[in-house]
Amino acid sequence: MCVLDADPNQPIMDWKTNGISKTTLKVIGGIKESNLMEVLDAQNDQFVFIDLEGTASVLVSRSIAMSDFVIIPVQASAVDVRQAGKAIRAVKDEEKVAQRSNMLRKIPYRVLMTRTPAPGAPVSSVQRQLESELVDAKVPRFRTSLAERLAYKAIFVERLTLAELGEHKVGNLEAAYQNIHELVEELVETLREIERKRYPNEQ
Amino acid sequence: MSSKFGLIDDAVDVVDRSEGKIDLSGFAPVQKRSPIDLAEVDAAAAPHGFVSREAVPVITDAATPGRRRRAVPSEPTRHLAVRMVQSQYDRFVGYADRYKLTYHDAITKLLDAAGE
Repeated sequence: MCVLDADPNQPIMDWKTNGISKTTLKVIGGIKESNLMEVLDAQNDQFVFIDLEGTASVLVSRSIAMSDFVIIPVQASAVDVRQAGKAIRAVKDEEKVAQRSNMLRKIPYRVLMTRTPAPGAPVSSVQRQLESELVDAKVPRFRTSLAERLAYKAIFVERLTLAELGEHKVGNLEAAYQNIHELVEELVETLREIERKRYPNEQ
Repeated sequence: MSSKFGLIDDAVDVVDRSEGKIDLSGFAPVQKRSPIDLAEVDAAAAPHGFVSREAVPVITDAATPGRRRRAVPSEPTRHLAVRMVQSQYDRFVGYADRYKLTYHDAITKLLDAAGE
């Protein structure tokens, strides 16, 4: 597994190089418009994640064009939703561009609701409206949301993985772990489904 | 880890994260991409506001000589105005600056390189 840190602020590189985590996760920083394709081509990991800044940029659109799957994180705020709308339109247009040379090329995507209230906590009316609009617009989304939890912030404060945070007692670690586990399960299930559609005879 | 007041058993307190591992078998390593036309990719995203956010290097060295006025060409000249997306513009101007070329010389150099 590999993460290309394509955020100009390099948060994942900072987490990896300035911390004491024993994780084997490979992180590559310094990703720019000019070297994205080259760096991506040099990887042979099972999964390569490109972590991008939450802004509309050429680096983001090129990453979309080269991806097998796009995750669009959205918080329940008007600004975030408009940005997500741009990203969705960009994914669709990049897919059309890619189909000029390969008619079968698809760039599947899912919206991921992030920083949502933990289960049991009140849900804001903005979030309810957003969820309703996503359903009306038939925008594909993850069933699992990523709740706002202290543990996720602590990952970057302590520069450790979630599993390594055990001794730090940050919020409800078990619930945070459960949430991530469910999300990864859904992601893997989604990717398997995409693979099945892409190569129907190989299953 | 033991709790402060000894009310929680170690076994209960420890979260065993080795459980519930997710099966990732069957996913092959990522494949090398087919080459993509970056100009097309950039042009498709530009209408949605996806423009270059990377600064174009500016040559500030005072000792760098400016472009010299060239001799008047012997053949007639024609005017070419090209509208392009910001990222293409930045790439082209950056290229001309890097090699200290006028724009028409930069086009000639690129055409020569492409064998046209």
